[in-house]
Amino acid sequence: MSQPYAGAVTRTLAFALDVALLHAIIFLAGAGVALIVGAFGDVSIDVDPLSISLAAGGDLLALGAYLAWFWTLTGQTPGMRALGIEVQTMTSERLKLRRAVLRLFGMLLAAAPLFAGFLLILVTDRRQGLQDLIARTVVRYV
Amino acid sequence: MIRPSPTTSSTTNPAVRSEAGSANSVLDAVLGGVSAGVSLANRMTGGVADDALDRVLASRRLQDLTDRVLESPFYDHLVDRLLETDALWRLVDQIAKSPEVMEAVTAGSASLGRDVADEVRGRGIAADDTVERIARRVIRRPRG
Repeated sequence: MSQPYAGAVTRTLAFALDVALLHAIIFLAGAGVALIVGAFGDVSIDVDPLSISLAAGGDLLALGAYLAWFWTLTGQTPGMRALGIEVQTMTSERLKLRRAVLRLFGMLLAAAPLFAGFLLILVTDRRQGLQDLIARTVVRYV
Repeated sequence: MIRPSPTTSSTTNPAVRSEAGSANSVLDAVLGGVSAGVSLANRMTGGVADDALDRVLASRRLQDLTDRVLESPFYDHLVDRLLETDALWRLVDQIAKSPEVMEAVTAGSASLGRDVADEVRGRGIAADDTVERIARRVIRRPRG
C-alpha cells in the first residue's frame, strides 16, 4: 500500500455498494408495505412531479441518514467495511453527529459542480474531497 | 424434511413402524452375532479366524459376488425401498442440520466472501494509485 489514505476508486466502489444496499432495503420495505396495503385496498402510484420530487427527497434523506448513522456508529458504512476503509477526524477519532452532518453537506456541495468537488481526492496530499476538507476528515485504509 | 415427494407416511402406520423396529432388532442381532462369533473364533484359534476373514474379503469370488448383487434388480429394488423409508430422510435431515455441517457451510461461505473482498480491496488500491497518477500527470502536479 503506497499510502494510508483511501483513493477515489475504492471510495467510489464503497459508495456504490452502499447505494445498492440501501435501495435494496428501500425496495423490499416498499414491496412489503405495498403488499400489506394492497391486502386492504387498491395500491395506486402517482407519477406527478410533486410525488416524484417527494420520493427523490425522501431517498436523499434516507441516504443521508444511512451514511451519517454508520459514520458516527463505527466509522464505516457496510460498503466501506467491504472495501476496508474508514472515515476519521484528522486526529483519528470517530465522527460526532455534527461533523457527520457537516460532511454530508460537503458531499452535496462537492456534487453540485458536476461532481468536481470529489475530484479533489485525486490531487490532494491526504486524498481529501471537498466534503473532507469542509468537515476536516480523512478516509483511511484499515 | 428434505424428502422429495413423500407419497405415504409410513411412520404414521403402526404396522410399518413395528415392522421397521423388528428389522432393526434383527439387523442388530445379526451384526452382534457375527462380531461375537468372529471374536470367539479368534480367541479359540489364535487369530486364524481374522486371517480367514481377511482372505475372504480379498478374494476374487467375493468381488464377483458383490458385482452381481450391485448389478441385479434386487439392488435397485433395495435402493428404491430405502428411498421410500422415512428413516433415511430423517437421517439426511439430522446430518444436514448437524452443527458440524452447518459450521462447515458457514465457514466455506465466509471464506469465499473474505477472499472476494480481499481481491476487490487489492484491485481497488491498485486502481486508486493508477487513477491518481494519471490525474496528477494531467494537471502536472506530482505528489509532494
